[in-house]
Amino acid sequence: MGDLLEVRGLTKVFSLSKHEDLVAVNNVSFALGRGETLGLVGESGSGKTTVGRCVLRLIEPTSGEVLLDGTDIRKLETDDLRRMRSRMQLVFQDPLASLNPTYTVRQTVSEPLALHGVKRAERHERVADMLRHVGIGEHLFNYYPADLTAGEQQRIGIARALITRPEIVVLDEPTSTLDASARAEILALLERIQKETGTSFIFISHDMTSIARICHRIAVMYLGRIVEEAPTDELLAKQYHPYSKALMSAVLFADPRRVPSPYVIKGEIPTAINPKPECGLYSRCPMRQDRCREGVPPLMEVAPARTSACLRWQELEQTELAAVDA
Amino acid sequence: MRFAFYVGYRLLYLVPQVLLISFITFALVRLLPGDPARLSLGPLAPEEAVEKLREQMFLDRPLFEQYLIWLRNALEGNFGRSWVNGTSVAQDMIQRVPVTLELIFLALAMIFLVLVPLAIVTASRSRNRIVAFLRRITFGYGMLAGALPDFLLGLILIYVFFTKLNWLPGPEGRLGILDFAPPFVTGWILIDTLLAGDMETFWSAVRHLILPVFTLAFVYGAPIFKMLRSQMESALNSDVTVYGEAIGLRPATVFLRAARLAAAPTVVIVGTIVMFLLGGAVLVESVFNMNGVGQYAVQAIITADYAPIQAFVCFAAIFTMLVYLIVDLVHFAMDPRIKVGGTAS
Repeated sequence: MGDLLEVRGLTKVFSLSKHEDLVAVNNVSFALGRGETLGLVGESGSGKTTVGRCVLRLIEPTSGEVLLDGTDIRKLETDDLRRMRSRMQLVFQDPLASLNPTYTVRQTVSEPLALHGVKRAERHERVADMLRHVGIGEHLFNYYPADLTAGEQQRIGIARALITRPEIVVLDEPTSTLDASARAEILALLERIQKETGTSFIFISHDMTSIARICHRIAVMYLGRIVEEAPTDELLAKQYHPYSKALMSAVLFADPRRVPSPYVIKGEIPTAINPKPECGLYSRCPMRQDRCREGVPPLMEVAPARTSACLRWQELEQTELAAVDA
Repeated sequence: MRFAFYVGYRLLYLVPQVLLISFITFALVRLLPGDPARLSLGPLAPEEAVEKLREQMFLDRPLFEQYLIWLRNALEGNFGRSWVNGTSVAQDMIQRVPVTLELIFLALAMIFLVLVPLAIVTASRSRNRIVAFLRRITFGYGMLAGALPDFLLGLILIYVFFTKLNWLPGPEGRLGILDFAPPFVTGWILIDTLLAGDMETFWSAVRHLILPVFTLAFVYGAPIFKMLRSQMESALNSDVTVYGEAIGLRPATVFLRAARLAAAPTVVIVGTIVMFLLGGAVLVESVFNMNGVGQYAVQAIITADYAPIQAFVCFAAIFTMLVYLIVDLVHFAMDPRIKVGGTAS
């Protein structure tokens, strides 16, 4: 069975002026299988959200291919694209801002069905089923979003995204505005839904613990590019890119035996306007060399199903000690 | 049913409010310097005559008793007489209120027909050349209009379109000297001329109304324009709009929904603007020499004419409260979250 989603060479350039191009997404490629969750992690401004929106063609990519089940959604005409939309959905970071304030819970969730021509009676039933499924009691069906808690709002956001039985859902930081207990509940809900329906998720977040819990594979993004991609367990155990390593050492895992490694990358993410043809991390990297400036390092296969874009990935195991000394 | 009950409740609520306002006005007006009996008889009249008139006007009675006398008369439709002109205030108001209401109504109509669509269209990021052109024209309008006093704009318009170009009539009121005023039916000049079938006078009235209405709409439409445009911009950039696209709504539907989201908060300020329009009409009536209720009130204040001031304030109070009621009802209709007769839950 082929992959459900295949993204090849996705690039998005926002032209700010004649001489300034903001390269939000730079030659990004990845694949996503059915029932799989891919985590996109990176700091603010790394292009994660833009990737999510480009995959759904809510932002028109500048170049590259987005193949859903073999169909390049970039080549679809307006009407075909609109029909295709029931197969791919989006959950937002801020549930309240994304819910129409004048729609009740029931109206909100049944809207996509109505749009895709599902009959009223069937709609009613499916909406009630879906809402119960995400843990919204019947007594809340006629409430407006503002009357609900953030966790309930996000459940509505998930319910309306799943109601058309999409094959792929982009979750754009769905838990970052929630408190810890609501976050855990939403993650559990997503896991359960995936097990039952086989929906594929792209989970965008900067919260490594959420990512680690829910994703099968993780792609680390930095300055519009994927710098390392690996199965979750392997990435948690060992990182082959200094940026991933710094990201991991900044995470506090709820495991007292795990000693946090003080691997720190200082400074801010450089501007994505007119990026230089060098490793994006060069200005901040503790193990940079002159050859890192000779061009953008390509993603290399460093182990089975693992890629890294660091020229010195082999040395990373030793550098841990060096960084501690420094 | 609940709706009708609510409207009735609000109208009933008007009664104590108007009573209180009328009493406060009554008391305040009597604090104005000058003795109306002396003012109306002139400085040379003998003291006995002034004293006698004072008795006739009940000015020798205690304040509260004077108020009760006024209230009793007002309930019978008698708002007293102007001491300056000797005319019935009720008659004066019937003649003059429609003039002001017509100005306010036409200015509002102009705001809704021109500025509201402009605000909505220019908020879009469409690259359409017409939209881009409109955006360029309206850029800075909000800023400029907010800083421009209405009477000054009125004077500039008169100078340009009457004195220099002579395209439109000058500040000579609602009709020219040679026009025949239509018989009084509604007091709205455009309606009365049409009812009389006098098209020539109708067009003359239209030409006389263009500048004052434009002045009011231009100045007082600016806050509505600014508010609606920024609301629309944020609605178009909101996640609600992205979601609309994500589920495959047509672009036109997405746009209309954003407009609806933007409209609800804007309606609230429209109510406030209508109040300002009433104040603005006072100045614009003076500039364009229209015999509206605003000009009437200004004259009454200058001459310490108690009865017209009292009548005007009561009119303004009732007008204000009715406008707020209408705004609230429109708001309810637009936003299902607000439950009639209660707060948003």
